[in-house]
Amino acid sequence: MKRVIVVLSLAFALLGANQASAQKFFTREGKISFFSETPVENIEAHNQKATSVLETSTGQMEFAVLVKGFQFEKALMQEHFNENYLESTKFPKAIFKGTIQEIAKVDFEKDGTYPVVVKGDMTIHGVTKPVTANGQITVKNGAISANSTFNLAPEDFDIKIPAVVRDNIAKSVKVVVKADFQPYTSSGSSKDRAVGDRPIFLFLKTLPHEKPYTIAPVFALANCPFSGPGRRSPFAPG
Amino acid sequence: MKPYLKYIFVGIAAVVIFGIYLFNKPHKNVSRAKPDYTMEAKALFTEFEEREEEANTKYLDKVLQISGTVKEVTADDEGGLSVTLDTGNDFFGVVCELQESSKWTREDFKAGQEATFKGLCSGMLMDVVLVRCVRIE
Repeated sequence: MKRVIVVLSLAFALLGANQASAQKFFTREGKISFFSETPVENIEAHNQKATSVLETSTGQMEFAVLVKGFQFEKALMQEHFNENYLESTKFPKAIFKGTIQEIAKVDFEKDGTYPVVVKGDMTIHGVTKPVTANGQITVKNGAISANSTFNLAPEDFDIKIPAVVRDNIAKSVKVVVKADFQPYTSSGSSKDRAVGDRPIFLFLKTLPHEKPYTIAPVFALANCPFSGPGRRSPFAPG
Repeated sequence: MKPYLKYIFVGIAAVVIFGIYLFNKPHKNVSRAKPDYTMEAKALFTEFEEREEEANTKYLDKVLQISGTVKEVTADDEGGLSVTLDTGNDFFGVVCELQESSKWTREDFKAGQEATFKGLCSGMLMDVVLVRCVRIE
């Protein structure tokens, strides 16, 4: 036991020393929100528990988020979002893996706000598409944060929206991402093996999915709990 | 006015009211829901770590009542509170995101104390995440 404590305190000392030169940064408190604005209505949802990793030397970056963690104002919207559109039981995670272009232009040692372009692959609803987004890296007193706003089209990710409610959901949904990173260090101590077992760029692992699953719009409609006379669209204004 | 028209109107009114009710139906009330599973944070984490897909099928969207030792308490800018329960793993735990506008504050939780939460399981990234949690006292 004593030895464990010694090893641990050593590890922590190392951790502290490494802090300044750490090249990997991560957060599990990233914020991802999306906004769909149409003349019919506005829909928004927020998730405060996105996980992200940033490797400052190469500019590699990953984001992962649990689809079921998105909170909507209306329970019915959330239900449709999860069950009919994103099918979050089948595809629980949305993942982005990409690279910050020209990372050398960002001086992580110097306070400032650096505009960046991130290119990578976005996986939502089991469909992976290349995405390019503009964002900003902010360095302040050694702390790194990142934010970005970009647009995604539900149709690109094979998300079927029934024709009757198509006008209620934007063709292009605005996504806002914000992450405050912490240094991530892994020293060689045995206690860290648990992390070592999950290499940092693999732990945001994708589940092996079976062939892409598509629902016919009719089925989605049938699933709509309210489809009697005087039907209101599930996203009709409240 | 034909007498049967009255029934038709009543019928239509009922459908409309039911529709409005459905549209505005409240989020699942976790504090009143009966837990589908009651377990230790460590056991839940282990299941997710070892067999994530199986665990997803079993626990996603289910009401879980999880007990464990408080490891970390975080509050975001909007006052949203999250409590991480220890799972024996150095870095990852079971994160309980407390229900919005709940009565608990950051001071109510101290690292090292035992706590039990009930919430909806949303899956695993690095941590296993429960949302809309309430504390069981």
